[in-house]
Amino acid sequence: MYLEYFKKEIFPLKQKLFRFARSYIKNDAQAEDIVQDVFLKLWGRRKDLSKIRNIEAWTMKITKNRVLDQIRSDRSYSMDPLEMKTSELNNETPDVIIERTETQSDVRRMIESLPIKQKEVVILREIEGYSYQEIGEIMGIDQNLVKVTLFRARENLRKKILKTERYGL
Amino acid sequence: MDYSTVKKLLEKYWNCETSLEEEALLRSCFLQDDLPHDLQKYKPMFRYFEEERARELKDDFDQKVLKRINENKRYGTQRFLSTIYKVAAAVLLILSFFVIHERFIKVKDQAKKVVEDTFGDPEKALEETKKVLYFVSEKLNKGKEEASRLKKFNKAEEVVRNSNYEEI
Repeated sequence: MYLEYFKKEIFPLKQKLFRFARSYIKNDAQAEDIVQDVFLKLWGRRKDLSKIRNIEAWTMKITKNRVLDQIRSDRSYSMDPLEMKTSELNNETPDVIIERTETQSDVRRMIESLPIKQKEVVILREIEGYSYQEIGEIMGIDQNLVKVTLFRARENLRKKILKTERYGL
Repeated sequence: MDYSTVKKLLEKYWNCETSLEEEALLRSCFLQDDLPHDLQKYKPMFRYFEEERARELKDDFDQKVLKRINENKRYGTQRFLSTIYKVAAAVLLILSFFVIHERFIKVKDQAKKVVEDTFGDPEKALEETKKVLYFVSEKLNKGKEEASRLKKFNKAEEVVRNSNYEEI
C-alpha cells in the first residue's frame, strides 16, 4: 500500500530532486546518493507522507538540508569542471565544444558567485520551473521576497554577462 | 518569433514580469543559432538553463532505491525480532529469578517449620532424642558384630598365604 503511494507520488520527483542536489554538489554520483538517502528517509516516514500539504516543497527542503549536511561533512566536493553529456556533444566540432564548454563554465561560475539565496531562487525558477509561490514554500519565505531576490539575481547575472562581454572577465 | 518581440520579452524577464510559459519561450528562442549580435551574449545563460533542465538520473535509480527499501525492510524486521528476543530473554531472566527466590524462601520456611514444629517440651524432646540415639547405637553395634565376622576371613586368608610361602 505504502509502496504504491511511494511509487506514484514520490518517484516522479526524483529528477527535480537530483537536479536540485546537483546544482549544489557538482557531482552526479554524489547527487544521486543524496537523492537515494532522501528517498529512504521519506520511506521511513511513509505513514505521515499523505498528511503533508505540499509534498514536493517538503521533499525539496529535505534534499536541501541533506545537501548542506553533505557539504559541511565533505569539504572536498567538486565545484569545478562542467561535465558534458556525450549525447550533447554529437555533431559538434572540437572548437565548438571547447567554446561552448567555456561559456557554460562562465555561466556556472556566475551563478555560483551569487549570494546563496539568489542562487537558490535562480535554480528553483530557471532550472526547476517553480512558481514564486512554490519557491516561497520551499525556501520558507514570502513570495514577494522571492520575486525581489530573483530580480536581484537576474540583475547580477546581467551585469556579469555585460562585464564579461566588455572586458572578457 | 521576430527579434523585437524577443527583446521586449527579455526586458520583461529582467524585471521579473514574465510567466513560466514566457520564460520557456525565451529559452527556446535563445537555443537558435541565428540570433542578432546584441542578443548573442545572453545565449550561454539560457542554454545553460536548458541543459541543466535536461540533466537526469540514470535509468536504474528506481531499482537501486527499491533494493535499498527492501534491505531496509529486512533490517527492520530483524531489528524488531532481535528486540523481541531481548525482551523475552529479560522476562525469562526475571521470572527465573522469582521462581528461584520463591523456592529458596519455601525451603527456608520448611526448614524453619521443621525446627519450630518439633517438641514444645524439652524433657520430652530429650527422651525422644535418647530413644533415637539408642536406636542408632543399637544398629551400629549390630553392624560392628557383622564386621568382626569379616575379620575371620582375613585371618584365614593370612594362614593360607603363609602356608603357601612355607611350601615354596
